Amino acid sequence: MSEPVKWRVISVFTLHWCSWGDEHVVYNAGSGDTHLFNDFAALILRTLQEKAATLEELSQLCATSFKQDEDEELNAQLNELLLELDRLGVIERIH
Amino acid sequence: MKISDLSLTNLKQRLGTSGIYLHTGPFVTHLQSKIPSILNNFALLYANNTLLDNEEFADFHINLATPRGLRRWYRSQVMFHFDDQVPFKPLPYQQAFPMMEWGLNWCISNHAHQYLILHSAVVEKDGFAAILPAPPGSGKSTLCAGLVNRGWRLLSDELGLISLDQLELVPLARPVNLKNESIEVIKKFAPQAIFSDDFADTNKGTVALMQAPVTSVARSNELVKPACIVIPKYRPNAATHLEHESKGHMFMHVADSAFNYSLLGLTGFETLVKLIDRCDCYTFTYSKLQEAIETFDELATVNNTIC
Repeated sequence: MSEPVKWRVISVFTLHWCSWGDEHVVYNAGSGDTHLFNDFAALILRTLQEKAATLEELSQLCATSFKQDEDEELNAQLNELLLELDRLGVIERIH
Repeated sequence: MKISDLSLTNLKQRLGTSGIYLHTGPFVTHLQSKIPSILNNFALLYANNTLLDNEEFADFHINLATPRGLRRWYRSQVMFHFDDQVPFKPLPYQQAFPMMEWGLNWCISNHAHQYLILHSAVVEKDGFAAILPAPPGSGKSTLCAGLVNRGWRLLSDELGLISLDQLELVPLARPVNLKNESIEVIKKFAPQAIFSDDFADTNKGTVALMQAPVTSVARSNELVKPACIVIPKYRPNAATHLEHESKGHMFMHVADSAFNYSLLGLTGFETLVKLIDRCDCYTFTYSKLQEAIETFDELATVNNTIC
């Protein structure tokens, strides 16, 4: 049985953060891009900055942090977010 | 010595030969041109600027001239030379003066990377400095022209210069660039203001430039700390409305409006973080210029009372 896909922040790039309330501005020193994230995206990104995680692990984290049910809707949102962060070149998929 | 201290004949002779060294804000520009409309409009709009004698260094060397060949005579054009290079396609001869202004903006925004440069107007009253970052068509220059004709100091109409080390706004009091209907609006609003010729059929429509207030030019060495950032939005018939903007969204808006944010890399990010941190952020919708100025006056008064 194959291991579940894990995600992590692309480690060669340094991310610089500034937060104002529920808004988080992140500068990616690798790409030179700047992104504006909400609490949800910021939590995921900060988590993936510390260690690689699977969708399931992230889903559990979000359910606890935002007091949400860990259901299909949350997983779908998370999956969409991970793909978007991947598209932005901030995170990468590992196995 | 000021430009106005030279006779028109003397200015014409110098512009047409060795050129003049013009002081605008922190920059020295070496300008040469034999084109009469450059001479006349320059003499009028830069009358209060300092002329440097026997200057050996200039930040920018600019020459506006007609091209050689048939274009000198048939549908004549003007070329903008910068350090003996020609960075732009020529424009119709009648647009020589606005081309000089736009070209000088280009020189600054492409080379003065000791500053974070925002596409914004900057005005100040009683130490309260407001940055107005906005794209063309937002009413930025109209509002800026209105404010500086009602007691506010002009730091810039187009290029907000922020020093990277001290986070101070550096004055660059040059003519205010007005377009289309806003030309008549400001002429009626401030009959005493001095204007260039109207330049029709530019790629921005009809444009005219308004002379920077003499007091603003005289205070070109007085830097000021930024206090607020206001995104102006002119909407026909809209009620005057000032509302807080979130800092995160303002960060992204200002980063988008900066000429060299990306080029400055991490320094640009850190500078902008400090700027947003210290400034109150607003979005401002208006249609009536007088009401808009009253709102800004109130902002300055409230801020100075709190401080």
